[in-house]
Amino acid sequence: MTDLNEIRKRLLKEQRQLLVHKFLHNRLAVTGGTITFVMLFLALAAPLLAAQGPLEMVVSDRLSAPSAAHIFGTDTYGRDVFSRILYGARVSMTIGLFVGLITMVAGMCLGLLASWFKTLDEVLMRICDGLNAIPSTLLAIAFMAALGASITNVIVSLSIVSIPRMARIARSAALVVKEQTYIEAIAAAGAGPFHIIFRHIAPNILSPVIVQASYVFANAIITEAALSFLGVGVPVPQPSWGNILYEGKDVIYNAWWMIVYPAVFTALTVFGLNLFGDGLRDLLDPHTS
Amino acid sequence: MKKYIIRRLLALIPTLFVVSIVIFSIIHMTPGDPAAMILGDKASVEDIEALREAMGLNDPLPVQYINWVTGVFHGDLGQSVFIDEPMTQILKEYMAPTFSLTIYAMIISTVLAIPLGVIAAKKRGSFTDQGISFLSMIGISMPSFLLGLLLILGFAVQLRWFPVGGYKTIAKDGLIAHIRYLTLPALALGFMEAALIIRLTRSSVLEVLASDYVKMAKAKGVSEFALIMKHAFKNALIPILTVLGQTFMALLAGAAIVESVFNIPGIGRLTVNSVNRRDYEVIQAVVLMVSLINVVMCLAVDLLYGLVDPRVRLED
Repeated sequence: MTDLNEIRKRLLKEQRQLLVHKFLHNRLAVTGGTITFVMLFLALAAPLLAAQGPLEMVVSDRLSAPSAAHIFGTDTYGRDVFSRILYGARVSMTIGLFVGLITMVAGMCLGLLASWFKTLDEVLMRICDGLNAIPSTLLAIAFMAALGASITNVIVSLSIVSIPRMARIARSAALVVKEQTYIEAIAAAGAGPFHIIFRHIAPNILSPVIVQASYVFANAIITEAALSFLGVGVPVPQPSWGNILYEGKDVIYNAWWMIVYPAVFTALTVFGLNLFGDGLRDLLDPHTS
Repeated sequence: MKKYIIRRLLALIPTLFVVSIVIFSIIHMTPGDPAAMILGDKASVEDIEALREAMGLNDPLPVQYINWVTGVFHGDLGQSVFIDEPMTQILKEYMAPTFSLTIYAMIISTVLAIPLGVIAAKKRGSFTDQGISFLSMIGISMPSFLLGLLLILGFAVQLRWFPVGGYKTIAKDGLIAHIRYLTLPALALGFMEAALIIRLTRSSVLEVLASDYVKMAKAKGVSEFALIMKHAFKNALIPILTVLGQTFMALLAGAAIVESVFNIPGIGRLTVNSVNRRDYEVIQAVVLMVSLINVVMCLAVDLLYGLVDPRVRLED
């Protein structure tokens, strides 16, 4: 027995090493991962890096251009744009992570259950069709209108609009796994449906689900910025990339830095996440790329 | 084909039912009394009660739902609290700029994207291909409102080639002014979709190029140009056409945000204004209308697809 266990351990280790090796040789994944990691680091280190609090106003220093004191300039209220962008990264990353996670867990559970129980499948998929029929940005705006502007509500709205697609992806992957002989064998051995679904099917559909989660993450960041820009996302004066842009639009003739910097940060983060997602897909799911 | 059409139509019923439930629920998701939310803090109890009665909020939920759906079937999409016009009239007025913008963006994104995708596929792996792929990667990461703001900054504020925002109708100000005002918004709106179409065109042309019949054509000496245009592109067109339908919808929904950037009085602006005024019935009407357009569009694409490709309609 010990021998078998050792062999198994060694094989697992080799597999892991191979995966790490493949990851490091995938330029997309590495570049995207690095950008995402840097953004996460900036978000976490915001209190250390920001020279001035994100809400701290210096009235004498309104709308000053980028300089040594304020590398990204200041806004209409004399707040430091750099520190607002750093704290905004926290908001974006929090929303992206939560929406990604909630969507992943909920979508996966629904997809898995739908793949096994026929009646549930019919009902769930019709609900997904219905939700998909409503354009997601519009639905998110409508939800925000009803729920009111707040970070939690942004997370709730964006999760609701992203779950249907995730459920579909999980379901179609689970349907393929379900037909495999080993699942049949486990069922024949008398395992219950929940045991089979969550212990044996779930681990085998992780690849497409994780890849989709990275896109949901990126999309959540875009949509949060858009909602805040429209004034229905994260409430002012909280710093969020969309809020900085919203305030920047009013002074677009005087303060280009209030548009360009948050725009670059948003686009770069999304770019990084998309690259990362593409890289992951090549790595985990070579058939679909 | 007839069976296929009937099956497609029947599948719409549950979808529309779910859509109607979701849209109906919007107004009931508000924390607390919707009537009180609409009228604000200073409203008197009598006013709130009167509005509750007028909106039918005192009826039990199923009754409210049935009343609402019956209304929709009779063309009654509700009543705006702030705009004193029938809802259909409001929608018609605000829809015109949105359609104009969407169609313009559609033209920009397809005219730009399909040739670029074909070129990228043809010169696979070359510098041009990498350049185009990089451009489309940027496009996918660039949300329309960001690009819109950057375009305003560059072409309206700095270079002054285009207006910062606003809208001119063809009827009043002529076609030139109409196009001039919509160019930046359409570019902003179309870029991301263009990026997606470039990627799709590239991969689907590549797939066709790798197929046996193209190899055969090559072997019998068909010229490079004819090969791309007549053999590869034509067959790659089927998936591309399907995506065009989705693109139109994505643009229509995306227009909501771009309109706010450029101050265009379309349904997007109407929605955002209604959100700020808590004019829920307008929001419901807009979401309903866009969703219906979406459903019809998907149906049309599905039917078209079934027509072009017999394999689709013979499935299951």
